[in-house]
Amino acid sequence: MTLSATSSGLLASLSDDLAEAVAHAGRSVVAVNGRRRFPASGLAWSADQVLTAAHVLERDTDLSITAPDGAQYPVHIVGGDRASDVALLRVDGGALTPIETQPAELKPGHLVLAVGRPGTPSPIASLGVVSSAGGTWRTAQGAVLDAYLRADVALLPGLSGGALADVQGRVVGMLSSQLAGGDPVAIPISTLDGLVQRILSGGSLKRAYLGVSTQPVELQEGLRQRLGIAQQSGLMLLGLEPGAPADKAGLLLGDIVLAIGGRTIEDGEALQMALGPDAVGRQTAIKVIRGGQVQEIAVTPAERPS
Amino acid sequence: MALDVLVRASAVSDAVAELSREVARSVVLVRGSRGSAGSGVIWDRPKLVITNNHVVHGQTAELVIADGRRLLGRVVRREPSLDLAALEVEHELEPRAQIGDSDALRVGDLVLAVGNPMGERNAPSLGIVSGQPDDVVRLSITLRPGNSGGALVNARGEVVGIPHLVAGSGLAMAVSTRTVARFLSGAPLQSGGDLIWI
Repeated sequence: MTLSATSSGLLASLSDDLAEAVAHAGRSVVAVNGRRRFPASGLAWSADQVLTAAHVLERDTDLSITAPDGAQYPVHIVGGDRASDVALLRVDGGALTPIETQPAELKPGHLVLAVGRPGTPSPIASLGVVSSAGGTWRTAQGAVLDAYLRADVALLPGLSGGALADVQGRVVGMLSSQLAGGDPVAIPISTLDGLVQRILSGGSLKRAYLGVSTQPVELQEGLRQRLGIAQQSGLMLLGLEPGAPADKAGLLLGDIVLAIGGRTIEDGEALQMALGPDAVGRQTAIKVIRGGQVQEIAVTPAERPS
Repeated sequence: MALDVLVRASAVSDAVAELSREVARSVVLVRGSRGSAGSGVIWDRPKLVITNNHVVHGQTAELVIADGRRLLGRVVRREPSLDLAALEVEHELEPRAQIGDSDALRVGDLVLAVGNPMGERNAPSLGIVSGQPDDVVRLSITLRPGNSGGALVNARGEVVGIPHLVAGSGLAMAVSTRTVARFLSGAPLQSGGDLIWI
């Protein structure tokens, strides 16, 4: 082995930097004990609050966290949302070191570290690059979130709820193994901020609800030309729940939904995207085709019953 | 893009390539008697090559060293529970690997594995230490069959482990050099044990 001094020094300092970054992020990553199998991870959001992935909590009581110094604290659930895979925990008497965050933009190609602590004294980590950073998306469980970070980090067992961190150990998001069907994805810090605010103000996350079942249908060329519409398909209403917002607003079976609040609806996913928390209780115009004519009907989505 | 960024990234890239080439000089291809193939490391002891036990099933193996020469290696010690085997050759082999301290590794440290996965000679894989090392080093790295028995080195090119197990997508484990030291420290021979001397 005759590695040149330049190469040796460069790689050694890069290695040191990465290990430092893991240790730095690791100071604010805790173990979350809420399931039968080994623990998962969580982020110290404040001295006495921990944010984790909702799916790692298999029970509501007898929950605890293990701090980086090994101290164990009982916790209780403040609130959360399974579809967004977040849960906020209150740590009684907690004196945790809150995460240092980095809301700045990471671009595809930036190096990132996944850092967790599934009950191990030292953090665990994997290295990768950001594969994509994007805007509004729908999780596998149906929640609509306003941003995501994907990275090709290895999903070590117990990393869910842990940190996606930059190479200085600043947390850029919380990891979930569930939201994207098993691929690693992180909810960015700014989105987590919003989720935490909603949890703290309401205890849980609202989702808007119309009370319809639908089927995408293709719009015939002739019909589109006659009505002057560009979209290729719409959503036909096949079921209406009695007394639910759609029924109350006068929507009928067979109506073909084209748009909600100016947002074009061509499939079920677009409908879900249109029914975010902001839509609850807000009167919205739904554009439909009924009897061969386009009509607009005012609907006020309600909060989805749990 | 800023020129200094390009220069820095190129320097890292060049350094990894240089590290890969240098480490490969101490890595051999090991062909077992039953057609198994893996890797081995020219250890810092006379005439000694370390590999995984599961790479060499029989008493001998064929070693192909960096310059293409083929040599016969005889198993002088094996320990299935540690997945380690020591092969002795008749002549001195060069260059010997530099052996590092696996206990000094930290989570996040950069590591490079060099082996012969799927018949490719001296293929490097870059990764990091993913969990605090003990008898094994847990790795976030992509390895394939044939990496077994090869070299896992730290950023200074010192061998810190022998990759032996793929534990999932992007996850692998290596026997730490702490364990190799114990294996070689001449733990007493036990009759009827797993150790075989020839």
